[in-house]
Amino acid sequence: MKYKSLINHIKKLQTNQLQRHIIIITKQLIIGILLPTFFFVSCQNEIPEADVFDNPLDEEEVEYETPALTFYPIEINTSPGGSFPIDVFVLGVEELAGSYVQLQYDKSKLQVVSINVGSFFSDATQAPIFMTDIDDNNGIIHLNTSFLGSDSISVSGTGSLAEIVFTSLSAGESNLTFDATCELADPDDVSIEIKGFGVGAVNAK
Amino acid sequence: MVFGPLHQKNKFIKNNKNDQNWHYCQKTAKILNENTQKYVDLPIVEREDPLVISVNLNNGEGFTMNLRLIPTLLYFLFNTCLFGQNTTLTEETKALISEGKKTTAVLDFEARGINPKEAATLTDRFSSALGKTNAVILVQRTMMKEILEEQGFQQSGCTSDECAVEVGALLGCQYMISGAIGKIGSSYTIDVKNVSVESGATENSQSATYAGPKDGLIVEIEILAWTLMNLEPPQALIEKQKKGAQVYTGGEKPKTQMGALMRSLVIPGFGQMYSGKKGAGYTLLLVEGALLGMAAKSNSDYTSFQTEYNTQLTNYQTATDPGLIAEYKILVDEARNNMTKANDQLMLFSATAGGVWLINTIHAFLVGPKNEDEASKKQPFQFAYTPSTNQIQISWELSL
Repeated sequence: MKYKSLINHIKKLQTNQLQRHIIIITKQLIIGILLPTFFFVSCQNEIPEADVFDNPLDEEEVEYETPALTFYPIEINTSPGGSFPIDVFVLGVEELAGSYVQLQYDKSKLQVVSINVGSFFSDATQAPIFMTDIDDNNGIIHLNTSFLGSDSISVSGTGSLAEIVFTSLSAGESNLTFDATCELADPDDVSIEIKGFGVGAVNAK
Repeated sequence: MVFGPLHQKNKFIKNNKNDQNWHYCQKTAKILNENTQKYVDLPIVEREDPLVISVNLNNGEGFTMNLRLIPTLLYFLFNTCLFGQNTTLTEETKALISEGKKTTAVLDFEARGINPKEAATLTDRFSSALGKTNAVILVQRTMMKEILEEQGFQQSGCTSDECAVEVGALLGCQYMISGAIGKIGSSYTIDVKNVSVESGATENSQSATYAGPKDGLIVEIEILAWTLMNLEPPQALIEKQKKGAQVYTGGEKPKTQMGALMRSLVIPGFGQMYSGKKGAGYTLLLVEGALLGMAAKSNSDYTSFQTEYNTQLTNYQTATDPGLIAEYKILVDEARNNMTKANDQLMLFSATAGGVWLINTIHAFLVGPKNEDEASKKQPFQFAYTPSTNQIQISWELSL
C-alpha cells in the first residue's frame, strides 16, 4: 500500500510538472509569436487607392467624352425641406457662343427655388442673354444662354452655365437628367456636338 | 640556553570557547606548558639570514637569535613588567590544552583565478567554521596578522609548507592550515592542508571541486573545515550543499536561460543584462530603440502625408476650375506616393525591429545563465589518450 501511494504521489507530481510545462510553453508561444505578429500587423497603415478622382468636372476622369453637360455636385445629400444649389456645367467645349439646355427633375421630390446665370458666360467681356423657363407641372427646366451680335465672342473650356437652387419636398432619391434636345453653338451658330451627359443624383433623408 | 616563558598579555591564542578571553602565544624557542609545568621545545627554522645569529657557548650549549625579534622582545619584556601578573592561562584554556587540542592558525588561502579579496573572505569563513568544530585552539586571524606585520612578515607570498611552518614557529602554534582556491573553466577547486609546525609534515589534507555560482563556495569551504579535522560536517551544512547556492542568495531564484529569454522578450537587451552581458544588452537595446525610433518617425511622416492627402483630395473634389483640378490631382498623387514611401519605411523598420527583437530573444536564451545541473552535464561520449597503452580510448556514460 505504501508503494502504491508513493507511486501515485510520483505520478501526481509528474502530471503537475507536465501541466506546468504546458502552461509555460503556451505562454511563451503567445508572447513570442502572437505578440510580435500583432505588433507587426498593427504597424501596417492603409494606403488609399489610386483611383479616387471623382470630380465630375475632371475631363480626364469622367466616363463620357467632351464636350459634355453635367451637374456639379453630381451627388447631393440633403434632408426633406432643405435647399441646395446645383450647377449646370459644360465640359471641354471650344468657342461656345450660345447654349440651350433642357433638364428634367422629379417634380414630386424637388421644387425649383431660383435659377442664376453661371460664371462661364458672365465672366466674359460681354454680358450674355440668359433666359429660363420652369415647367413645374412636368418637372422641366429650359435654359437659354447666348452672346448678342456677331462679334465672335465665345468661351472655351469648362464652366458653369447656370446655378439652380432646389428645395427637397420629400424623402427619397431622384435624378436630374439632360434632355437630348440640348444644343451648343459657336459664334457662327454652328452646332457643337454634345458627346456626353452627366446625371445628377439627389438623396433626401 | 632557554628563552622564556615570556608571558605577555597582547600575544594571543584564541580560546574558542570564550571569545572574550585571550591568552598568550610564545615567541621563544621553548614554551612552558603550564599544565605539566615543563618546557616544550618548539622547532626553530634554520636559515642563512644575516639578521639571524647563532652563538655556541663553551659548555656546548648554544642559541640562535633573530635580530629582527629584538624590538619585539624588548616590547614583550616591557609588557611583562607591566602586565605579567595578569597573563596566566584561564581554566578553560587549561582544559582545552589538557584535552589535547592543538593551537592552530590559518594562513590566507592562495587565490588562483579568483579575486584575492574573495579568497580572504573565504579564508575567514573557513576559520569561523574551524572554530565551530571545537577541535582546535584557534589563533584569531586579525591578531595573527598583527603579529606577522610586527615581524615584517608578508603573509601574501607565504604559500609553501616551509613558509607555513616558519609562520607557525613565529606564532608559536602547533599546526598551520594553508590552502588554495583555484578556478578551472567553470569549476572551482579548494585544497586545504594541516601542517604540523613541529615536524613540518602534512597531517591531513582535503580538497573539493565545485561547479556553480561562487556563493556555493561558502558551504564547500565550511564543510572542508570539518573534514580537515576528520569530523562529520553538520547535517545543516550538507543540506545547504545539496540546495546549492540558492540558500546564499536570500531565497532568490537562480538565474536561468528562460529568465533571460523572458526578460529579453519584454525589453530587448534586458535578458543579456540579466545574464551579465551588459555590452550586448545595451547594444541590442540601442539598436532596437533606434529602429523603433525610425519606425515611429516613419509613422509620423505617414500621418502628416495622410493629412496632406486628405486636404488635397478635398481641394480636388471641390474644385471647379480645370487648372486647379489638375493641380490638386498632382498634389493628391504626390501625397499618396509619400504615404506609400513612409509606410514602406515603417514596414521595413518595424520588420527589422521585430527581427532584432526575435534575435535578441534567442540570443538571450543562448547566452543566458546555465544552472548548476546544466553546467555539470557531461557529454555522454568522451575521448581520452592513455599514455601507458599509447591508445585513444572512448568512454560512454549513461546515467540511470
